[in-house]
Amino acid sequence: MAHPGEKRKQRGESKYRASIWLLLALFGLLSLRLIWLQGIQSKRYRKWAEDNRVRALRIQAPRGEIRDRVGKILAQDRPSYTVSIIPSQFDKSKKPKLAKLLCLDSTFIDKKIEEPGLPSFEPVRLKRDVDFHTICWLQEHGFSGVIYELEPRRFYSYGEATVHLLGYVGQLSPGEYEKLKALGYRYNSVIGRCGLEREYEDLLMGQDGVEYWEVTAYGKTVGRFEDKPTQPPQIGSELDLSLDIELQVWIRDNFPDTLNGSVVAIDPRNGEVLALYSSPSFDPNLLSKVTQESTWTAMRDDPRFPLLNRAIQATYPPGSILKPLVAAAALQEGLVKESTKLTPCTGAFRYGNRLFRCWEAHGNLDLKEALIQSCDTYHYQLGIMLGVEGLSTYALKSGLGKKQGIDLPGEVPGLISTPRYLNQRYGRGRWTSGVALNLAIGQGETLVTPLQMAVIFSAIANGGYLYTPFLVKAIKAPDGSLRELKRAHPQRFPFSPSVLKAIREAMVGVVNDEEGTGQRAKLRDFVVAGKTGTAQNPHGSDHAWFVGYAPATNPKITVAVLLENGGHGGATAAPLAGRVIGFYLGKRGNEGI
Amino acid sequence: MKGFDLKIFLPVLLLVGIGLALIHSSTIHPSLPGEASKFAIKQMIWIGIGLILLAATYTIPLRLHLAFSYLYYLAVLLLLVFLLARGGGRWIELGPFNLQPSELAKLALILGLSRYLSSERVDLSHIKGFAPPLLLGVLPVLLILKQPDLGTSILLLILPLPMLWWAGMDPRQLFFLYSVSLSLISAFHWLAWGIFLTFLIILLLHSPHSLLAKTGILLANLSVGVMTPLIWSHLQEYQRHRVIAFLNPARDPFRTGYQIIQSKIAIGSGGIWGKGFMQGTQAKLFFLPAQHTDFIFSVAGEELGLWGCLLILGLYIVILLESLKIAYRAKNPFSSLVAVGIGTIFLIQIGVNVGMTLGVMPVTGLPLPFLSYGGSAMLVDMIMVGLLLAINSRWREY
Repeated sequence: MAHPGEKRKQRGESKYRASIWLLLALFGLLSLRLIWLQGIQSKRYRKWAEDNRVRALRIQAPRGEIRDRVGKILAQDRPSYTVSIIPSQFDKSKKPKLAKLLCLDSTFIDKKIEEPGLPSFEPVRLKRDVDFHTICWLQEHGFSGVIYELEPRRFYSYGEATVHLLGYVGQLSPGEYEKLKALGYRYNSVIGRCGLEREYEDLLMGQDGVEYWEVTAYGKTVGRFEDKPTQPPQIGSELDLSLDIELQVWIRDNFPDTLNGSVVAIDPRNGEVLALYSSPSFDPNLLSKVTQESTWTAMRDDPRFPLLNRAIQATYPPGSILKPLVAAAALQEGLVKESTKLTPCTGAFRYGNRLFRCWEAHGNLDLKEALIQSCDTYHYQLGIMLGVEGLSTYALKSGLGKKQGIDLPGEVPGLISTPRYLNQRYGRGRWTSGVALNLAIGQGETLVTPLQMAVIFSAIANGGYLYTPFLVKAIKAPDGSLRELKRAHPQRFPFSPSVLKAIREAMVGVVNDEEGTGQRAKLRDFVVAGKTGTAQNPHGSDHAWFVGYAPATNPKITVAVLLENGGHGGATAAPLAGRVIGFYLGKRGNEGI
Repeated sequence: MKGFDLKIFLPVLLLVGIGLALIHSSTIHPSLPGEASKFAIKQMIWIGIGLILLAATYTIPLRLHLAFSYLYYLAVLLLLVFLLARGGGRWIELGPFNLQPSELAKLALILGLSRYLSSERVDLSHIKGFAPPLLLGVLPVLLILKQPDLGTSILLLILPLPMLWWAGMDPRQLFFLYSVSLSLISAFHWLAWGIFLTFLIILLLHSPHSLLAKTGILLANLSVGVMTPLIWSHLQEYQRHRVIAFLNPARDPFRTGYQIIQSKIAIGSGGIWGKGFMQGTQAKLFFLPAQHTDFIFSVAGEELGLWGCLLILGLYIVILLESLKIAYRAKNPFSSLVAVGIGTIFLIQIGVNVGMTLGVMPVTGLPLPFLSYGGSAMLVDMIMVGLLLAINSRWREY
């Protein structure tokens, strides 16, 4: 007997039960999902949470030191303050004030802030090497989003004296960063731009350390992330050079400021570079800060090309300094003897229907006298005998026309005119044997670098060994181990000892004889041997050359001096070379070198 | 205090306590440990006021609620119209407080519907019977949709469904009633719509309705199902985005994906035991969006872990089962319906919010009862609890 109310109650009860089941089912599903996320997949999500909040910050590794042959520091990293800006946190209304404080252009700040491709919470460098006073001022006034960091900065103790050797460092461009980031560079890393800094970049750069920081979703750092230990930066390897910094600085101080040119000094006994100076020079310390555009433009557009390392990157006609090689080739070939006299010099030499001039009427000379007095007429005749083929063969065998392999970037090979080259250039049969006459006095299409001439004269001095010139003697790894660099065995010079002896005697005469062209290189305490050169140059006054070595009997230094548009080699280059040798040997006189 | 239902009151107290702790944890700056956050302090004030309102509601006789229910409904409707007339928005500024009328609308609709459905003369099998309650629901839904607040609109749209069912409406009829809106949703996929339509036709064939009514229902569904994709595909891309943005401003295509991913990372990384109170990195370092309001459950997941989440869900189940029991036991149909309505509101909000944080529901912006930071919601939730307690202690009243 179902009462209406009873019936409704029954219906109510079934709804009640259905609702309970529905509720439990829904919560069961949510619980299952929870168990899935928190129980089963938890590990995966924990890693994601970690990746979210932990950011690795690099600590820039100091670059390795560079020292001279007695351990004097030439380049090192020093701590300096760098002011950086975090674009997302920077209050732009304070821009003019900041620009004024840091002596920057406010458009420069705009450019830095809006540099494309950089996340806005990453600090961007504004100015390096900011002085402590400015840092204090910054801190007092509290610019939001402007931070300063203590960073190593490259400092070159001898500034412009060593820039062509050491090079300098600069900040990566965005394009370079894209290419190099796989090698461990970061977007504001520095990289060796030229010189040894570039040549030994991989050793000098060291290994950046990593610090782990906790960051917010907006990229703001909260604090050190202690669970991952900091990896300290590893300093770069240190370089010990063969360079004698005292000699280098002396050369810089005594080089005529108004002239362009270079001086190379090497030890003829092993190819160690003792000094290598190119003028004009510039101070690399200006470039390792954040470089102002104007500094760069001025340097690049300077008509004297200060960026060029003239000792290895510029080529010149050798002029008369090639004559010892020509004479040696003729002797080696047996075409002449030391005592052979050729057609006397009347101030000119007729070949075919062309008249080849000598710079003086030297009269009747033998080979040595011809070298001492730098007679062109005599060498024209040697040129005829050797021909282009003979001249170029000996030139190439002596190491001309190719890079010497010095451990500096950008060395150029120069040029030697072979028959093959002349055929290519002018066409087969379109050039005459008359070319050989000009080549024999170091004119025509022959181009050499001062470094090449220093190496060749060293080979004459040391009895016939062409050593590869080098700057880095040893590399000290961060763990303290020292690695001496092994150098290739020297090439043999293509001349017999007796030929070289004759040439050496002649070159002693060049400096020490009454008639010698290089008398102004003469020293009181040491016998200097060498050869002057006055190279004609289609673009202006003659280039002045002097290449020589001393002491003549036991050579310890070879010096090549080139002064662009310097006039007579005997008048300008020889005295400088003599003084360089004198300074070096005088300084070292008591050290038993 | 005989009849005071501790099985509801204690879980509520526990939940607001947990919520307070989580709000404190998720809004405190990492560099200022030990200092209470201003959100936690504000929330504490809301809880205090809420408890007072709860007590007040508890002491007011149910008859008064019944008597004033339409008036209350009308007042809230006017507030919503006022908001719209003022030019949109969700809040009315009242001195230091911001009142959110859409929260009040939940309670208003429950009371209004309950009053209507509990009257003796209503015949739910006839259109004259079920049209008024639908109208009661549709009015605030439209006003709130325009604010725009899709979450609350959907909540209010669903609310009448279980109440009509509880009041005795035939489930098949309810299905037909809601069939048009189901058509609208399923029409975006032809297969879903096909299945739905087949199901609808089978039900229609077996229903006792007049041919006219059957044809009407079928035609309405067909036209909605055909027109929706047609209109949609004829809209320009930007227009579609505008519609989506209008319906659901929280659903900015990039941010939404990000929010859900970060929420899942927070909960998943909490693991079984959690990272510990105040130790959540996702919330602390701002990876979690709206960490103290809509995504408070993610903070619980991260800091308290699985056990904490299950505890929270357990407390909710206790409250929901208890309100169901109260609804079942109440002799007075009005009281019973009010209890069902309140339970429904809580259930939908919990399901949608927790489902959202777990990545199984869309982002709608419905707060989690008792846990999320927010004044209006807390006050209304407390009033609803007060109502439940009042109904429980006077369940014999008819």
